[in-house]
Amino acid sequence: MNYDENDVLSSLLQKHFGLKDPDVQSDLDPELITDSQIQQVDKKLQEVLEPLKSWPDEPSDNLTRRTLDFIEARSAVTAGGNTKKVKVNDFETSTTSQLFWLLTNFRDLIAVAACVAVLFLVSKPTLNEAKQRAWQQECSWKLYQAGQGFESYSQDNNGYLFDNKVQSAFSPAIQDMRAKDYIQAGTLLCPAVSHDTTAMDSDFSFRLASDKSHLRWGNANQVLAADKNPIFQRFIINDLNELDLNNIPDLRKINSLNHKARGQNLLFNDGSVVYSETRNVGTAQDDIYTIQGTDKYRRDQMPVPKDVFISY
Amino acid sequence: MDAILKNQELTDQQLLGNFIAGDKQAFTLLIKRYEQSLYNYLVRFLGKVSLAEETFQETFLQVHLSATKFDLNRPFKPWLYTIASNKARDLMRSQARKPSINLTTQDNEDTVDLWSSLLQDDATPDTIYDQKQQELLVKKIIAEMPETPRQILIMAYYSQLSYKEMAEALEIPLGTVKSRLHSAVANFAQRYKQLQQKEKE
Repeated sequence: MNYDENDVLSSLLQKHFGLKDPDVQSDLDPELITDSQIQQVDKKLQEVLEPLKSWPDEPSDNLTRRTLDFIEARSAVTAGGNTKKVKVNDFETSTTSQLFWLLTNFRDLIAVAACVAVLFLVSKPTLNEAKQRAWQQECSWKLYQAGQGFESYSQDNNGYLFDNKVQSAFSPAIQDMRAKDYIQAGTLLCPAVSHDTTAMDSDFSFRLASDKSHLRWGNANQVLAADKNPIFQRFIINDLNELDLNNIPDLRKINSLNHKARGQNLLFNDGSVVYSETRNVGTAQDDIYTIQGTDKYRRDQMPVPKDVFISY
Repeated sequence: MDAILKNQELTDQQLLGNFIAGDKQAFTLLIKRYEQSLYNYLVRFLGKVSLAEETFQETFLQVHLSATKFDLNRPFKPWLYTIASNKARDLMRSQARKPSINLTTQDNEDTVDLWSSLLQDDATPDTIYDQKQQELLVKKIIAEMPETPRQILIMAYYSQLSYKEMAEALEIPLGTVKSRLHSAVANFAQRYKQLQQKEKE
């Protein structure tokens, strides 16, 4: 009997989980119900899911009340500004002279302006930090979205991250993913960069596996992408074609310029994203940006089979 | 009293609409409606009761603040779970999740084909545990699962979100929801079997 195993599994899971999905076909074809292999899968599925029943719900004990109190408390903090406003209005309605009113308001104005100036000076570094943190989080979120695209792509390619049928001289998988909308336009652009990125159209660097048939989705220890490789950023910013790390030893140590070289977002091969301050990562503490034993790099550098090298 | 009874018959979106129009009781009822299910989703996803309560409260604070921006023609439940999941993820990140922990986690297993694994003779677990032992084992396995399969398994099995609701809550296509769920069940079954065998030895 012909049937799609994945469709059958989805219907069986829907039945066992008790999901109500009006828009999705849930009932199996009556003919399929009598199929012995499907019956076997159905029975095994029930047994596999059985242990999950043992985790009971935790009692939530008046959580609604506590949540309402929590929201009220937060709202009260926001409403603090209104208290001040009421007092000012009260003052405005007093019977004091016009001159006194003007002087008082002018004095208030000066005091407020001084407070604002002091607050601005005190909080400027904090604001800058907050801005950088927001950029870093935005980049991190974009990398996470790219990871979702990678995962979907691998699911449509038997678990592999590269479709060997796609031929291109330059990062075939990424181009293929973008062409087929696995990665949406703009996902690979990070707001933290200060230089023009349109030439490369990506602020991230990706692992380019030379042996494409061996890069499978799901290895949580493997870095798949990161904020842009600082070596390649230098190529773009300084418009260079070759770089010798012996002349710029700092490039062996610094992180991506995206976040003032303080660290970089890393996408792992299981979709998780981590912000790391070191460029030596993974169980082997690999340097994600340089090729071991290699000092000279070209702008059009392509990986060779032994590389654990990422670029774009 | 009549108003309360009337509110109980309303959909989530209608309750939110009433709240926007000034009916505070409607918001209370909305929280009450999800108190048990969302809280338990967060308990299982985060693995800690205290963190779950904090995230639950932050989630409804966000709903409270963003209610007017919500399109009342869309279903409320997936939106709520999206907010809760994002808050939970933020909290997990802020819980000093150092790279070294993530990077040294051994998680090299390949994707398991659920159909084939179910047809193997040893696919199903032996029932050698009592209820409490089994509960601890399940909690340990789910806590150690990678975030993506853990989340979708909890959403589907315990929170009973439909495929469509999961697709909206996770912002992924319906086909990806199904394939992720298959992988998650296979992942759970494989870990359960491995842990059982380890304890037998």
